[in-house]
Amino acid sequence: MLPETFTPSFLRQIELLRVRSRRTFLGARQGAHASLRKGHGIEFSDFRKYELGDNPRDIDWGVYARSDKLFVKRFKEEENLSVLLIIDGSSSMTRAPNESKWQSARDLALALSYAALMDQDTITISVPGNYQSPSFSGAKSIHTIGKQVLELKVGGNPDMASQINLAASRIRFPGKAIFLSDFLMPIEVLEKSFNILRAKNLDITAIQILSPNDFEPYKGLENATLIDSETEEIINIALDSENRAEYSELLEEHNRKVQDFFSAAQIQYTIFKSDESLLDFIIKNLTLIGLLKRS
Amino acid sequence: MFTLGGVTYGLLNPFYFILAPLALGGLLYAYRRGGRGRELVVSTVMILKRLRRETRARKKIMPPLRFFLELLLLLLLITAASGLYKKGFKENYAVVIDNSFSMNAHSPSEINRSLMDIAKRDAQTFIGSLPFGSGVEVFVTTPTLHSASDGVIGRDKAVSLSNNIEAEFGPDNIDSALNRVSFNDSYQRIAIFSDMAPQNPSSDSRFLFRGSSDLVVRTQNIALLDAKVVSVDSESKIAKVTAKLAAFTKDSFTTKIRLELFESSDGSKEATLIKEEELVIPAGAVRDLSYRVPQSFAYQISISTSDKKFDSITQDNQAFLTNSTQRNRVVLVGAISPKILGLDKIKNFEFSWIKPEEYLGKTNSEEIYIFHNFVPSELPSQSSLFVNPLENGDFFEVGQEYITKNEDPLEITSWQEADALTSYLNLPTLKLKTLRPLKAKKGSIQVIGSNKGTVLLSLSNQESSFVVTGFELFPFRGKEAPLLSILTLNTLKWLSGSELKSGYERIPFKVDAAKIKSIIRGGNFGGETINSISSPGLYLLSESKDSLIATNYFSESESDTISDKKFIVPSNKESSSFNESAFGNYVFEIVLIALFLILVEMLFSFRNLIGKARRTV
Repeated sequence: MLPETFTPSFLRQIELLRVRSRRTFLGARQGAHASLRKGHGIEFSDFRKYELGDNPRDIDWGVYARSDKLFVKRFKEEENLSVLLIIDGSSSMTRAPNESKWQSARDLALALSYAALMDQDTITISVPGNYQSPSFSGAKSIHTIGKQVLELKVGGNPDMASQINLAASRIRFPGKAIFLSDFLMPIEVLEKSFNILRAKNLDITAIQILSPNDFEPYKGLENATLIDSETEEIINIALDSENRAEYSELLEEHNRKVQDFFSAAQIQYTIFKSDESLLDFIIKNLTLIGLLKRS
Repeated sequence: MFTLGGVTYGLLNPFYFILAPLALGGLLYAYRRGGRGRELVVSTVMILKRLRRETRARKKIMPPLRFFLELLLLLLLITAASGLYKKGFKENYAVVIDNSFSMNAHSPSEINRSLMDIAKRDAQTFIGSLPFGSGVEVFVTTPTLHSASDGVIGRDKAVSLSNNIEAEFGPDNIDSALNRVSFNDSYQRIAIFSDMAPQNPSSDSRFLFRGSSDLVVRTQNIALLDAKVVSVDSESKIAKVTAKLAAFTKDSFTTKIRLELFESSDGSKEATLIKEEELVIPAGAVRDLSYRVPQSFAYQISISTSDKKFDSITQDNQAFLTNSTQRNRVVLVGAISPKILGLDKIKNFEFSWIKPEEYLGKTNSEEIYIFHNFVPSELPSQSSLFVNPLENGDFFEVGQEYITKNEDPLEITSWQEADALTSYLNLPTLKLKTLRPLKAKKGSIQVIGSNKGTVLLSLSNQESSFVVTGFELFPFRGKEAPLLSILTLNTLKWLSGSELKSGYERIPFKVDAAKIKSIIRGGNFGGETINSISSPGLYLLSESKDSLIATNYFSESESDTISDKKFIVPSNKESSSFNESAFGNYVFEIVLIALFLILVEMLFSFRNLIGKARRTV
């Protein structure tokens, strides 16, 4: 079961993409990514002295002829990639009128999962505070993943850092981590959460998803009583033009701080507006930042 | 009710207007709160919290235009709910309540309730049963027919107002009252509440004779019908006091008569009982009482009976007398005696008779003169009434006699509405068999005119007043000829300068309320607005030579509770269809305006939506 937007043509476009990691990791099984493990891949790795028991077919006879010493050629193994998809399912993403952010994050996660599964990668999905999936592999798993994600009951205000820590503790094979969230949280919480992932030696990509209402809350309304979707905190605020301009500046400043942190932490980062075309974003933005590449 | 641009408006449900200040307050509160009432969810208030809280808009003293639009909209809806209408009601009803003296009679079936109480209760029940949106004008018949409500009012107000109606010391004027009311076409129904029953069926289907049967049940009563100080012997200082006691009863009974004497002219001394006796009065008897009493300032005669069933009305059980109590004297100059002319029925005038040939032209300043079919050679110095003069007078000319013919009837065409002589008269119904048309001279004015000439004219100067009728005014037949009787009484009242509030039975005194120093016995007065004593009693006036004033009310017909009383229902009017246009309800128009404003309001919102969409795209 997949969202209605996942039409056959949409899926065909996704099939052409593969998740790309900036680093090599040990994989669990054969795959399409270069692994730290030496083996029978096609990419040369290094030489080492022949030891008893080595397969004579690996001996580099040319080197032997030049140096009268036996060396065996070593190649990089090609293994699968473990991809951890972390979707922020807190109320800021799911509660009306911002539920479009959750839908976008969910669909984007499913699209990335489909791309990874098609490339024999392993997918684990974590919705902090709400859901932790087992590892999925094989293209057919996309339907199981889709069903489980679509039926998820999300919301609440989970302690993001501890939930991320919980999800990270289950990682058996470090690999790619993709974090989908609005990142409208204090920078300290953000840093703490990502540092947990960084400590696990993961190649991290952060995709910030914002709705139009985040950029310009309740356009046309001058004054309002605003409720925080997560903490239920209520503030009475003026939404006149002056305050709106100030709000835009503050949001920009927050996003800049988020971006600065990601940059310093070598975390891939991009932003997605929930009213944009998902396919366009995947094909253009995600390939641009190097998260995906055409196979 | 309120008047705007000369048009009177009213509200069917005025209590809805208490919502107006609430609406204003609510709207102001909403604007001051700046939308706090509407709670909206945002992803996080983390950033928003850092913004300043108050808007400059809310600090503004002047609200935006939209505020006024919304306020106007609310007020319009409230006005519509209140049922704004132009003066006039859906249906108008007249309620005529007989508040004559006889309505003081105790109800035979309900203890401690008078016929007046029952009439009011029945009237209120009737008013309560009228359809929603009906207007009611409440009339009372005594002292003269007048609107107690000053026009048509709502049902609730009419019920409330009817509570204040009390029986007066005066006769009923039902006949003339119904005549006058029936001429108003705007009444859908005319309901009468009286102790009298209709004598005849009426072709005017608007008349409703409502009320419980208790109203017309006859009771028994004793009453004093007259009292006066006949003579005073200054040598022996003995006065003769007479009184007339009438028993309107079916059985004989015993009554106690008390005669009290007031020794001081200012009421400082208590009254002294000088005579008390018990008399057995046969059923239906009339007794003349006469007592020789010491000369004094004032007297009070009272009657009572131990068996209350013989005394339905207690207000007619006493009479107050002073030495100055006397009636207006009228001198009739004519060939026919006052008795034949029926003038003896007019009790508060004392008539004497002079034949024309005996008239010497010298008049007494304390008297009024009636010249019946006779014109003296010189205009008298005293106020006079010239009835059907046969020749010209000093200030009038008499034309040739006209006798009414079927093919060319005599019709009243004009009259002075505000003139005291035409008060309470339904003049279009005046039918004259003959007329000697008058012509005014020397400042006299036409009061009543007809298609055949002036019917009645008057002249007034500083010393005296004069009235001339071009037709035969007499004999005085009381209720049998109500229109001519009222005209006679109006004339005598005007000529005597008396401010009689109503019929001839009462002895009123117009007096500045400020001059009434105290009320010695009984009594009441209408206050500064009426300036007349309105009930019998002994009054002490502060600036009068005769400082003690006695007033009485004697009325045989009103005290007679045992005889069947009938009134004549006018039948000259057919039921007329009610003019629906008199009811101008503006609810529909107001709602239309309100809908238009809602549309404008929506356009405001729509414009904002469009703007939002454009920027988003």
